[in-house]
Amino acid sequence: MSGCGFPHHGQSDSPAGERLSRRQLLRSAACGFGHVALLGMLQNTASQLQAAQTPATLLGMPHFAPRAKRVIFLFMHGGVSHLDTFDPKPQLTKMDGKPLPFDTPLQFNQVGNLMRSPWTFRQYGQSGLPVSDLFPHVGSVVDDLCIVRSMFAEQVDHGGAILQLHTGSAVFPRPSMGAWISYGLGSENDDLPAFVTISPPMMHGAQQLYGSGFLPAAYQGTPVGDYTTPMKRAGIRNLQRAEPTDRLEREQLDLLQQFNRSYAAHAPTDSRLEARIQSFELAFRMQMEAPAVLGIEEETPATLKLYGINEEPTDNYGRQCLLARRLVERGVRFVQCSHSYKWDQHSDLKNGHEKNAGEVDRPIAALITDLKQRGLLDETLVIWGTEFGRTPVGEGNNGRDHNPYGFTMWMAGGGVKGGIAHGATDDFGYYSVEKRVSMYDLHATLLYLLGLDHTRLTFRYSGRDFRLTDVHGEVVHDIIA
Amino acid sequence: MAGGALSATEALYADEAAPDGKLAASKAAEHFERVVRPIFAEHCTVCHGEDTQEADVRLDVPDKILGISGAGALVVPGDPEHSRLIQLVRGTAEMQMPPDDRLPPEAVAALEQWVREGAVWPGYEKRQTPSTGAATPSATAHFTPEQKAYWAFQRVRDPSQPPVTNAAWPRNPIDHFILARLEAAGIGPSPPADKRTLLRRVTYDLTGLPPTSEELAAFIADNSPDAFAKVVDRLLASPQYGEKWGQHWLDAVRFAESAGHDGNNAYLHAWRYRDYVVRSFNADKPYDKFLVEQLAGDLLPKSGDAQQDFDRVVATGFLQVGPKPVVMRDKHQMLLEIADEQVHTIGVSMLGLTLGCARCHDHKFDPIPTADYYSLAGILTSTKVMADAAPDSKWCEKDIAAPDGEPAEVMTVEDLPDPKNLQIHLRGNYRSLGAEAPRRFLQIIAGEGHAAIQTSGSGRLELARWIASATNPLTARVMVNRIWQHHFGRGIVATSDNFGRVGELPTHPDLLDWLAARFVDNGWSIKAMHRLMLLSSTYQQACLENAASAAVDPENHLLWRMPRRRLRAEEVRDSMLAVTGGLDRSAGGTLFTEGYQPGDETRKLYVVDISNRDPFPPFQSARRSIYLPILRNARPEILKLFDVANEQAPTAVRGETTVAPQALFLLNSPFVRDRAQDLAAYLLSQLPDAKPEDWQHVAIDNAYRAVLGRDATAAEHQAVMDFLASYQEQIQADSSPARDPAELIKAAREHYDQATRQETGLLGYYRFDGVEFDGASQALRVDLPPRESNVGRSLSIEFWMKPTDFRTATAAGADGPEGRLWRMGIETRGAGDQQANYPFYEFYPPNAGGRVVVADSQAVVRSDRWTHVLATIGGGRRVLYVNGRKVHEAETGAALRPFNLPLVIGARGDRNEWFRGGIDHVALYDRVLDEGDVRRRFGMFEECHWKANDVPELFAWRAFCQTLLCSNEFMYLE
Repeated sequence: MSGCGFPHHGQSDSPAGERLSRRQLLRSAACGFGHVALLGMLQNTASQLQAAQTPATLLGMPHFAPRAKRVIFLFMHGGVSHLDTFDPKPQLTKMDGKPLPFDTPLQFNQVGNLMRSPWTFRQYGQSGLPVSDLFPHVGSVVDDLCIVRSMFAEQVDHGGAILQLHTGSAVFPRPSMGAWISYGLGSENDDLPAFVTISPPMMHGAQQLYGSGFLPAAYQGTPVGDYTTPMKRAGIRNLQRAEPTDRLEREQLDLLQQFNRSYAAHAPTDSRLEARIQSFELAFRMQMEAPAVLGIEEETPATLKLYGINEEPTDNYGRQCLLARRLVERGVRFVQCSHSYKWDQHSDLKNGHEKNAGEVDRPIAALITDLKQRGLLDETLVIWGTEFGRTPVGEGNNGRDHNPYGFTMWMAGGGVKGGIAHGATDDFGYYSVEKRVSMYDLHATLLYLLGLDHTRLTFRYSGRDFRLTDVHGEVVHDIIA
Repeated sequence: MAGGALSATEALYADEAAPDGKLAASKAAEHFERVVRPIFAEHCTVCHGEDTQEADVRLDVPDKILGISGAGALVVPGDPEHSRLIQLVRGTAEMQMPPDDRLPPEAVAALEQWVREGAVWPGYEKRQTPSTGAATPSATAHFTPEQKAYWAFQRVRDPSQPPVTNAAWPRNPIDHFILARLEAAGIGPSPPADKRTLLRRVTYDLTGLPPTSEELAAFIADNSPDAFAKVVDRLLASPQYGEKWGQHWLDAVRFAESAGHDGNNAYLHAWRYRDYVVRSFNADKPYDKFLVEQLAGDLLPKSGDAQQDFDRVVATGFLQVGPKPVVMRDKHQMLLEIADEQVHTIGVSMLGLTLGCARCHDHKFDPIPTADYYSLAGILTSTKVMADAAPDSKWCEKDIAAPDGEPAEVMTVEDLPDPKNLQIHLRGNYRSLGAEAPRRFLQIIAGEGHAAIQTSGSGRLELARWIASATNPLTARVMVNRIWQHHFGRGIVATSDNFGRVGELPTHPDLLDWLAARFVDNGWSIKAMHRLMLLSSTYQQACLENAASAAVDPENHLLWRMPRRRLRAEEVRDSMLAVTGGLDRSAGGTLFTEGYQPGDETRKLYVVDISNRDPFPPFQSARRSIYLPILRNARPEILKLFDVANEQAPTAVRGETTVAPQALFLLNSPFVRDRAQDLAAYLLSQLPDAKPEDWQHVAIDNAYRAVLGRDATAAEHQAVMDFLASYQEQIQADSSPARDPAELIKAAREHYDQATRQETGLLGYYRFDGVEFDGASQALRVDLPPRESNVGRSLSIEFWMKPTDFRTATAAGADGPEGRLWRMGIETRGAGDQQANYPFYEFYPPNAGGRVVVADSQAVVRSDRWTHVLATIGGGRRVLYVNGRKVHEAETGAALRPFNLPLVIGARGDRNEWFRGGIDHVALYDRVLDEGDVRRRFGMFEECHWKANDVPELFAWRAFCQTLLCSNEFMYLE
C-alpha cells in the first residue's frame, strides 16, 4: 500500500442533504447497473457519499471530451514474446548463439545465449511496420495499430504482473480497470452490464482480474464462461430463467412487485424501495435481452467466416472477438477477451507460439476489420496485451523466460494514432529504453482516451482515496491522434 | 554566478574539508559550472529535464542526482566505477545513454572527473541522507495551535445531560441529548414502534437473525414494563450475539483466511482468531483488555487460566490475518508492506485515524508526521510476523495447548530478539533513509517529542496499553461510535474509520463524549453500552414518514425517527436459511478443511483453490455465514452481491447497493430456489392428509409468519390465491409451457449433470438419458478404474429408478464373481391393490447388517414417476434415503474394506434379478453425504424430472414462497 492520492472532490459543494426525487431516481435507475447502485448509496452511506458525488460517477459523464467510448482488451495470458511478434531485432539475429553483452536481473531460470527469432518479419501496409509471420492477419491491419514497443514493468512472476496489468497494483488487489471504468462512466445500455469479461482466466488473480475490489459490487465484470469452458457453451450466471415459462416468471414478478409496491406505499420518500422494484424489472429485461446478445446465430455466414468461427483453430477466440463486437455495439463499456493461459513458452517457443498465434491472429484482425467497417473503430479502443514479454536469451534449448523490463502491447482505434510504433527496447529487446511506458502510464492513457482524468477518478475506502494509478501514471500524449 | 556558488560550497564543506579543501571545493564547483552542467544541458535534459523526466531521472536539479543514495543512486560521489551515470555514458551498463549517439570521450572523462572529485553541485545542500530538497523530516513534531485544538484529540469530557421540554419522553440520558437537539430544531421524535417491528429490529441488531414466531408471541404477551429489557438481556445472552457483533469486529480488522495475493495462501488456523472474537463478545470481555490481547496478548504474563492464556496467544492473530504479499521478491520490502498494513489496520480500527497516509510524507490533513508512522512501524518491524524468507513466505504459527489440552496450531507473533528503531524512509523508500524515529506513540496525543518507549522488547505491549488507556481521546470514542453506528445506521461520527479532518464532524459531540465516558466508567463493557442504547426511547421509535421533520432534517441526522435498513449480506443468507428451516446453528470450529491444495507440505503451506468459486465445498454449508471461510477474492456470490465487507482492508461502513445482479440471483440462483422449495415443501407437508377446506389460507398465513413474522392481510390472501390458481392452471395446461417440455427436461438434466460432476468425493457417475432396461438381458458392467474402486471407509451410492413392473430386482451393485460389496434395488410386497415395490439396500461385509427392505408407505418406488434413492455407509452407520427423506438408519459394526469389484447396473452380478424400467444418474461418492446434501440433490432431481402433472402444487407454492424471500419487507428492517 504505497502512497495515497488526495483529490479534493471528497469535500463536495453540492448539498449532501439534498434528496433525490423519485423521478430523478427512476430516470437514473433506468440507466443501467451502476446508477442504481450509486443512488442507493447516496441515501445511505455517508463516507461513500463523497466518492459518489464525483461528477463523473454521479452523472456518468467523463471529465473531458472522450476519444473512445468503449474498450476491448485482448489479453494474451502467459507472456507473448515481443521479439517474435512486433519488435524485430536484427542485432539478435546477428548475434544468435552469442552471450548477451550485459548483465541482466535475476530471472527464474538459468538462461542461455542469445536466441534469434524463428520467424521472419515482413513489412505491411502503408506504414511499412514490421510484423512477424506469426501474425499475418494482424499484419494486414497494421496501419490501424499503434504499437507500443517500450512497455516495462517490474513483476517477473505471472501473478504479480497480471494483477498489476489488470488492477494497477501488484501487491494488494484493487478494483480492476474495467470496474474503475464502469464506475467512472456507467453503462450505455439499460439491459446489459457495463463490464463483461469473456472466458476469464481462473488463475493468477482469477476473480480479482475482473473484480470490483472495494468499489460496489455493481462494477465488477460479468463473466461469460471461463477459460476452461468452450465458448459454444459459455453463459452468464443466474441469467437463465428459473421458472418454467416467461409468463409464469412474469406473474411471479408481478406478485412480488405488488407486495413491494404496497410496502413502499407507506414509505414514499425512501427511494431505495423503488430502486429495488426497478432492479427486478431490469433483471427481467436482462434475462430476455442478454441471451440474444450472446447468441451469434444471427450473424451472417460471411461474418462468421471472417472471424474463423466454426473452423479450427480459430473457433473459440473467434467467438470471443465476435461477442466482444456485439457487446460494444450495444454499449458495453469494457469487454475483455482472454486467451488463457497459453503463451508461457519456457520451452518449445516455436510450436507453442505458432499454435497460439494461429488461434488468435485471424479473429483479432477480423475484429479490427469488422469494427472499422461498421464505423465502430473510431470510438472503440482495442488493446492487445500481455503481462510481460520474453527474454532475448534462450531458456533450455528452445524457450524464452519472462521479461517484464521491455515488451510490446498495441492499441487500435479509439483515438490513438494508427500505423506507428512508439518507443523502443534496446538492441536485443531486453530493456525498454526509449519513451518508456509503464503499466500506470498505460492505465492513465486508457482513462484519458475515455475522457477520464486518472488523478480525479477516485474512491474513498478504508479512510483514504484510491486511484487506479495510485500516485503514478503519465498520459502518453505522443500516441494520441 | 561562480562566485556565489563558491561561497555556498565553502560554507557547506567547511566542517569536513581540510583547510586546503576549500580550494579543492571551489575548483570542483568551477569544473561543474564550466564543463559538467553544459554537458547535461546539451545531451541529457531534453529527456531528463524540467519538462520530461524519463525513468524519473532529472539532470537539471541536484536532488534528483545527488539526493538518491543506495541502490537507485545515479552518482556515488568519489566513486565513478559504481556510479550508474558513468556506466551509462560509458556504455558498460545494459543500455547506453544518451541512447542515440555516444557522448564524446572528453565529455565522459569530464563527468568521471566530476564524480571522482565528489560530485559537487554548487548550492546543493549536502546531507548525510539528503531528501528531495525539502527539509529532512525530524523525529520531533511541532504542531500548530489549530492542530492541537482539533476536537478528536481533546480528552473525553463528561457533559451533563441537557434539559428538555418534553420531559416525559426520555427514558435515559441518551434521549436528553437527542431530544434537546430535536427541540432546538423545532421538531420532535416519532411515536414508539409496535412490538413486532421492535422485536424484529432488536433481534436482527443483536443476533443477525429474525425472531421466531414463539419469541414474537411471548414478547407480545408480556405486558410487564420491563418486557423489552428482558428481550435485550435474552438476546445479549444468546450465543448468536457474538456471531453478529464478532462479524462487525472482523470487518473492522479486515479478517480473512487467506493471504490474498497470487496463490492466495491459506490461513488454515485463522478461524481460531475468529472464534476468539466471537467468544470475547459473548463473554463481554472489557474492550480495553480485548484490544491489549490482540496487539500484545503474547507478551502478557501467564495467568494460569488455560482458556485465558490460550486466548491471549490466539488474539494476536489480529496482526496476522491481513493480506500479505507473500510472493514479493524483495523480502525486506515485503516485511515493510506487512507492517504498513498493520499500522493502517490499527489506525482505522482502533483509533479512527488513517496513519498509513504518513508513510511517504507527513499526513496531508491530520497532524501525523512521517516520524510517527515510523515510530509505530518500528514497533511492528521489531515483531516477528513471518517465519521465513522463502520465495513463497510463510507466517508465524505455533503449536500450543488448547484449553482442553489438545494441541492446537495458531497464528501468532512474537518479539524479535533485537528490536530496532526504524529510520524515516524518505518518500516511503527504504533505500533512502532519514532521521531515526524512536519507537513511541502519536505525538499529537502523547506530546511533541515525548519519550521513547523504555523496553527491551518491541514496544507492542506499551503501544497496546497506550491505545487501551482511559485517557486516550480516541479509543473509547471510536468504539462507542461503532456501537452506535450499528444500532442507529449511522455513527455520531459518520466516518467511523476516520475521526481526522477528512472525516465528518460528530452530529452530537456531547452525546459522543457522554457515551465514551460511560463506556470507560462501566469497565469498557460493550454489553452495557448496548443496554444503554437499546433501552432509550430514541432506539424504540417507529420508522415513520413525517414531512415536517423531513423538511428540517432530510437525512435524519437528528434521529427524529429510526432509519430503515437493509439486511446485511450475512443476514440475507442466514435469514433465508433460518426461515426455511435449513439453518445449521452450530458454533465455532472450521469448515476450511478442504478447498485448498498443498503448496509446500514441509512448511505446511497450502494454497486456496478458487478456480471454481461457488461449488467450493465449504460454501455449501448451511451454517451461519460467519463460519464460511472468508477467502480473499473468493467470497460466496450471495455475500459479495449484498455488499459484504471487502476483506483487503478494514471496513467501517459497508456499501448498500441495489442492483440487477442481486435480483437475478434472487430469482434464478439455486440457493434461493432451494430455500423457497424447502419452505414450500414444509408448508405442504404440515397439512393433515385430509386437507381442511381453508387449507390454502392456513398455509399462506404459515408462510407469512415464517418469513415476515405476521399473518397475511385479506388483500394478500386474495393475491396469493389468484397467483397459485393461475400458476397451477398454466402448468397443468398442456399448451402453456412456451418451451418444449422435452427440451426443459434436457436442460435440467444438463444442469444436474454439471452439478453432479462438481460434487465432492465423486468416484464415478453414469447416466443413461432415460433409456429403459429390458429386465431380461440388458445390464451394464463397469470395471471401475483402480483409483475409483479403492474405496476406504465411507461410501454413498445414489441413483434414480422407475421400474415398470412388480418384481424383485437389483438396480445396481458392486458385484462380481470375486465377491460382492453392496446391492440396491426393489422388492415387491403385498398383492392386488396393496402390491408395491419397496427399496432395499444391502451391504455384505460381516456385521454390516445385510439386506434391509424398507416396506414403508413413504418409501414406495412408483412406476409412474422417478424415485431418488441414496444410501450411505461410514462412521459406523448406514442410512437409506428415498426422495430426500431418511427412511432407514442403523448402526453398523463393519467398516467397508477396499474393494476392486465391477459396478453392475441393471441386474445382479450373477445375472439374476434383472431390473425392468429406468435407471439413471448412478453416482458413487467416497464420503457420507449428509441430510443436507441429500435434500439438495433430491431437489435437483425433482427439477430434472419435472413434468407438468407431477408437482404443480409444489411448484406454485415454491414460486410464491420465493416472492416472500425476495420482498422488500423481508429485506428491510424498520
